[in-house]
Amino acid sequence: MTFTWIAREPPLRPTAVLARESARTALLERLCRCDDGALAQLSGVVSPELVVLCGASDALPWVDGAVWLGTDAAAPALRLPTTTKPDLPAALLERAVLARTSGRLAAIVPGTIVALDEARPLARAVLERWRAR
Amino acid sequence: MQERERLGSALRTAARGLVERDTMMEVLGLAAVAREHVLVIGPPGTAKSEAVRRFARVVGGSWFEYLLGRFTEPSELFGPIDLRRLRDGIVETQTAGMLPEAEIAFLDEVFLGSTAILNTLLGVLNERVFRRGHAATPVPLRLCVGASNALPDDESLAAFADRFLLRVFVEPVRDPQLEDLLEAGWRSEAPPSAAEASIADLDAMSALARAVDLGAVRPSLAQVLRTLRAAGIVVTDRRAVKMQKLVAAAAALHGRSVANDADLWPVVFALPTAVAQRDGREALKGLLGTSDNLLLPAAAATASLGPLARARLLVEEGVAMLDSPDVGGPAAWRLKLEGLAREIDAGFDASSMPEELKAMRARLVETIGRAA
Repeated sequence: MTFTWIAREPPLRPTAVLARESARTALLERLCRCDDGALAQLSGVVSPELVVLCGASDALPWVDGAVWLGTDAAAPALRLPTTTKPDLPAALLERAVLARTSGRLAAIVPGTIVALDEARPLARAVLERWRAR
Repeated sequence: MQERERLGSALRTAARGLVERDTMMEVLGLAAVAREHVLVIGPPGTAKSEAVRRFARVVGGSWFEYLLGRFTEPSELFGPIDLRRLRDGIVETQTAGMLPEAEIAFLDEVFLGSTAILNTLLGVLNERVFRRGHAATPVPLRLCVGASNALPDDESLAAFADRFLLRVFVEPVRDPQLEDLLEAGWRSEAPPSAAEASIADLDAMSALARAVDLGAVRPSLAQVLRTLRAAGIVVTDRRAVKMQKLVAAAAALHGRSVANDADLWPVVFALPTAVAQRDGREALKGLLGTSDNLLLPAAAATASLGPLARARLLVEEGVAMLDSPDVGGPAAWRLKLEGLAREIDAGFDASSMPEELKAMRARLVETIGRAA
């Protein structure tokens, strides 16, 4: 399926954040500084390439270079960039992405799809291990 | 123009210490300049009366406030009959300190008034005239704000409700702002004690608004009305014509003598219900995309959800935040800065971010980095 990302106005309210490369490192550092109460409000997936966190807008920590994702009512199982949208019906994209991941929840940004079915509450010990790598 | 600057400063002062009431305060300013009235709908305890009281204080207007009830007598609003004149056979009302002599008025539970009260109010609101028997006295009223918990179901009150061109729907403060509410309430920030602007400033801005050239924006306004109709949002002819006063007031408050598409955003506040305003905002998002206002950034952003208005609001928030480190401590301040940076990054693509907002973002990033 080919499509183009076009500008979205107004933007979506963020419900997730994706960080790669230096932003990934900064986000792991930032999470390790959060108290347990703040961590308890988040769930996420971590890999050597990226981190994706899900949670309420005000609970998502900020780092420079992160990509903010939100939920389009037409595709509630996807987390899409807040400021862009696909130039095809979001529901169609949702179906295609979930078919590809064989899951029920996923994040998609240009060039990358991340399955979020395995998103878990953040354990401090796990975060420290990823930060140390 | 100094009147504009004083009015802008007055609105900001009035809103300080209130949480999530910037839009409402700015709509009061817009209404006063447009010489139209505002209906504020919201549950009890949402600072409706406090916001209007503060507005009256900062513009220095003579003030009248009353909580209406089912048994409120007309004399409680308009004044008692002058008994000494009555002995001479003349029916005259003593209006000193009462609504007919107020420049700014707040009527709480406005729809509970009796037929007698509402009929007299119709004349005061519509024609700026107080009628008692044969007497018809001009009133100095610049702005009347009516408040109620909900819009009336009674059809017979619809005509009266329609006299309030602008509608603001307020809700209790949202969860993320509760800490700010508690802090502001605990500090009991003293309400503004001195007027920063004046009724003369309001009158000067009203005169400017009346002189605004609407020729260039009328086709766009007509398109706005067509779009609203297509979306199933009914706008009466009277309301449609009066919307022009709001557009002109927005232009004057921004400093424009010729209104353009950036001044169309007030039409959202002239839609009669919360649902109509929500649907109208959605239907008009393309047409209101260039919305912007120097003095009323919160109202313009709320009405239009447009990028320019949002950007201006974020820049203002950033300036305020950076200029006054949080009294809650460095950690709390840093969280607030990060929250604002998140709102900027989530709300704007880097490639299309307005320059002023880019600069503000750079300041925020640098400050957050230093605070780490």
